Amino acid sequence: MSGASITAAGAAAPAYRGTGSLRRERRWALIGAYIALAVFVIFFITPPFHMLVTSLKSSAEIADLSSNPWIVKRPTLSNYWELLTQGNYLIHFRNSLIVTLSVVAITMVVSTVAAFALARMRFWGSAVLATGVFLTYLVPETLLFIPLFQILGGIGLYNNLISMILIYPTLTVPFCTWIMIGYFSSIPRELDEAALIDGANHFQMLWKIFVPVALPGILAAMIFAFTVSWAQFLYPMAFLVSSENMVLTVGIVSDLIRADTFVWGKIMAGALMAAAPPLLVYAFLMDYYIAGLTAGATKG
Amino acid sequence: MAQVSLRKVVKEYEGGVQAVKGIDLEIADHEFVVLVGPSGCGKSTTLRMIAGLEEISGGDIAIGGQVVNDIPPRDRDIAMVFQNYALYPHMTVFDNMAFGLTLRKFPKDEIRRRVEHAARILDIGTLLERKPKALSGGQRQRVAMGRAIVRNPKVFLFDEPLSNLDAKLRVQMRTEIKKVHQTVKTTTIYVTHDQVEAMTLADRVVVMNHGVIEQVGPPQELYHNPTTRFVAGFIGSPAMNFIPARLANGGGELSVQIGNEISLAVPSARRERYAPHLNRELLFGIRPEHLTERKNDGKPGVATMEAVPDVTEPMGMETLVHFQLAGVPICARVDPTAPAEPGVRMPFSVDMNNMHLLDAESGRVL
Repeated sequence: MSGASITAAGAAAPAYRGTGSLRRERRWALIGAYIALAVFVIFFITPPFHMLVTSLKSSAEIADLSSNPWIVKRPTLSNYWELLTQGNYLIHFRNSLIVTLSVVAITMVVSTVAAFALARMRFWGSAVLATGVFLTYLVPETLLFIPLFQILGGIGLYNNLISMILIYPTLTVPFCTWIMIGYFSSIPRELDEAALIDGANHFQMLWKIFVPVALPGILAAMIFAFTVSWAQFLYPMAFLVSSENMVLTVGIVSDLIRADTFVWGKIMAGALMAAAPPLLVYAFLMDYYIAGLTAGATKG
Repeated sequence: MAQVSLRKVVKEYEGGVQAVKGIDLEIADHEFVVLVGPSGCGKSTTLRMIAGLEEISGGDIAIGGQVVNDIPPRDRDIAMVFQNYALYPHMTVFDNMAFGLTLRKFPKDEIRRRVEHAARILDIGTLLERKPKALSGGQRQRVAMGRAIVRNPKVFLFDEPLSNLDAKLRVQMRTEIKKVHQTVKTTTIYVTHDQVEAMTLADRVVVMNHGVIEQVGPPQELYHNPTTRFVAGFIGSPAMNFIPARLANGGGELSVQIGNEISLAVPSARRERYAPHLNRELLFGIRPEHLTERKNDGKPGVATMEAVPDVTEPMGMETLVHFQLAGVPICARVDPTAPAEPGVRMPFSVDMNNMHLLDAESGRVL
């Protein structure tokens, strides 16, 4: 009897040690992960926090070098109020919205159709063209803005919002097309074939099958196009000169920095409000982005 | 519903590789034809050419008497069930099944009637509002079949539809497919690499190899009267044994000589057929089920031999016995009660009424 119980205990001991070791390793891995995440969060949250603190201070408090820059003594919304009631901030905001929404719409239409053709239709040179689309994305905008300046001047679109709607897609279409080629390629070819046999033409196949199935990819491309358009600085800086035609990125800089005078409170308030739309887009679309709609399409 | 004709159909890919090398096939209205063969034999390519998913390099394909070479898939009035189901993942089961009818602008009432009818046939009536990801493999395959049935097409095409299912479900779905065909009677072309599926489902089996048709016929004919070594070896499981042999004449009696020791008498009914092949290098073909433990039932045409089993595989209803003969591995199917043990010499009965002789060089069955 006793021999049997000793054997049983002896057999159980190594298993217990193994499990404990695994649990300990997992705990340390979790602690490490949390520390790394905390460092990242602090690193990325600090600048916006400083912006928020500064935007809630009056000019006098900001100028008071003896006060702590991270603490607001007398919080005020005057910077926000003045931005929204005086000056061209709302006009810049509207211009940014017009340009960005137009660019996103143009980009999505062009990229979706282009990606569908490049991913699914076999035609001469399609592979080279797909690579070529991506290569155009690698040309830096700093190289392009001088010839573009001449072209836009030539067609009378200098200092015109429409010029932004025409130029931004040169930045967004190649990358979005590339993202969507990848997504469309991952859709099983049998889905197209089933749709063809069911009676769909190419447009119906794109609209009724590819777009819904590749929605996560399309939303990823949309987020990219929105972010690039909303944050674009170089082209509006080069091509827009009058304040009422400016978008937010250059409007804030040109209206709130006068020579060597920086209106820090308003700059920070303006920048924070300008950051709201991309944040909303991310918050709203992220759920769809990770939805993984292709589950169940084929075997598995 | 319609007959399907393939005349000298060729599929050649870039670089001159021929996947299908000029095949002729006539499929009658209501017929269930199975294309079977190993990977790369051209069976799926043939099916895809019939569907219009692959262009034809040469020859003609006609559906219902109309040549469809240049007609797009949507206008061929065919329906196809794919190996990996190809269900639209963002649509419900109902919408998946209704998609083809919606595109063809059928009235909503008619769409609902047809979908519900197909759902009843396939017993998926309770799944109509689910998305494909919420279905099991078998249910998905039923939906894929339902999508084909609602269209009421001229021809059903099945491309290895059961390959992704587990063994038990595969047997169940095989019966379902046969039942559906008996109900709707639509001309069906079914591709598989599984000869059991081919034998159980088909009115006629088309055995393909290297882009050509080796033999066409009802399952039993292919089993009993194969015309080539490939068909003889492909149909039947375990596969037919092929043993190098010679035909000898001893006093007017023909016998199959295997090495120097084994001599098996050829039944008198076959003497005339085999006589011209005396003293030639041949292959003696015998199926495992015709190579059994010795039976003293006095059946005419049964020869006997002895061998030492290397391995025995009890299967429950039978035992497979493996041994070597003339340097080739042989499989016999014996009764589970027969005394078969590895290393212990045992006697076998060889049912020569079901023997085959093949030309060793050409592989033709004599």
